[in-house]
Amino acid sequence: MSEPAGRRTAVPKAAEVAVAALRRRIILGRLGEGDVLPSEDELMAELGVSKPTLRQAIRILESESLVTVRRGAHGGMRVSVPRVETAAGYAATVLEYRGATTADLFEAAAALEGPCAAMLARTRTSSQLDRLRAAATAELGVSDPRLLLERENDFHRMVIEFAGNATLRALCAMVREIIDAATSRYVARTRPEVHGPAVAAGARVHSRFVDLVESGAAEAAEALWCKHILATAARIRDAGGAERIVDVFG
Amino acid sequence: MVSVPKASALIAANLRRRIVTGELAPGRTLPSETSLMAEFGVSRPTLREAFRILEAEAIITVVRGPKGGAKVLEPDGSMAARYTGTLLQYQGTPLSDVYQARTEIEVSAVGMIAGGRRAKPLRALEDLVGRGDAIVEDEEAFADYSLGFHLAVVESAGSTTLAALAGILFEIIDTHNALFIASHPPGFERPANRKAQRAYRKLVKLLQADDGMAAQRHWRRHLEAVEGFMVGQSDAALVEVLN
Repeated sequence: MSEPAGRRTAVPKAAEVAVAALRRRIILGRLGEGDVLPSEDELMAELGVSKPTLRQAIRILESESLVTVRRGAHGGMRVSVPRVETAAGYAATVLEYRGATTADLFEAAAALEGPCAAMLARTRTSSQLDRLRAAATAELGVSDPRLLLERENDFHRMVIEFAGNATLRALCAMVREIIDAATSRYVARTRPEVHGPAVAAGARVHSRFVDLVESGAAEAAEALWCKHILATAARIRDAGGAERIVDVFG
Repeated sequence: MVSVPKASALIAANLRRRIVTGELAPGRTLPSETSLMAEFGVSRPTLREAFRILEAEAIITVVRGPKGGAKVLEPDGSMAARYTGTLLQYQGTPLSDVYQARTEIEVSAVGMIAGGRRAKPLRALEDLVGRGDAIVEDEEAFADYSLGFHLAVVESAGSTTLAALAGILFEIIDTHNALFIASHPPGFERPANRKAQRAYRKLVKLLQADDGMAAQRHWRRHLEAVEGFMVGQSDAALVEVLN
């Protein structure tokens, strides 16, 4: 994509063109994870640029986390393909800086995952339904709250995945990375009498949710899913959980 | 197996925290290398490795030379947007998928505005929609205004997180929008812009009337029409559209 305004000042056209060409190779999978970039001489010839221009281009790719320079015997410039975890890290920094709170994080999760729930109820295949049912039923048999919490977070990821929208999936993943940290922190910092019933209640909601998905009740599935996410937020708030996102990782 | 984070990653995390909490504000220069080396008890290469991490995240910029140093940049989301755009292209995401996600997010936001304390957010939208009539014939000005209106809808929902994530998406859509305008003859978007301005007014009216369901239905219809106009029946991948 074209460069957003600001930040990078006066990059010569030739370097931008070289960056775009190399970025495109990574996007299209012609350069894969861990691949060593061709030598400077080869790249200069292929891209038709001078050595300083090429080096500038590679520095830009490095700043975009698409190229990693490793030192040492097996060093060199290697490709790092785009990963959702890296995107989530960038997003977390922005959220922390803007003073986002756990309460509004969960509101965002409801706004993003709610539509996923409705899409899932409308389009689910029978094999997706089977996998959701199996996961929800398995949750009911897990008694260790930490383990159950992990399973429940995985269930949310499954709902997002099966909804089938890649853009929502990427945005949800950014939110989920932080929610995982916030919910584990909640379990670690509250007594079992407090978090045990709360986590168990979540598992029962997941089973009811699968019923709604099975019957194709999109609106009801969305409403239940949003309510479920906001109820989790309320529990964390009532337990005096982290207010600012920056404290979730503290 | 638990992997132990490298010293450079720990130092980067420490400095990142100072930046996001505002202890080190944008425009400020980080303490000198010598004093940071002493503070963290590390060598110069380790400290510089930490700087490289933060530079890659675009939250500091290192100026070389005698008057140089590491300067703090504002974490403004442009890096998150650029990287997410690259990620979606890498995943082979179709353009229509991005527009559909936008529709879902904004319809959720309209529901949140209707369900929340409305007075303040509505005033922001009311003020904004008044500005559209005068520029509805000017395609570039209207494109900026339109982006601002969509952003205001999401911001009015009251979740900083949702607004920040939607901002990432809107940067991608804005890039496509600019290319779309450039690839069509002047005046091509004007009828659609007039229609959009009417849709914005109607959204505000429905929210004023406290009819959240109707507002959501209306906004979904509008956004789906926009998708039809901007994407059509195309199944083009983002990578083809944006490069």
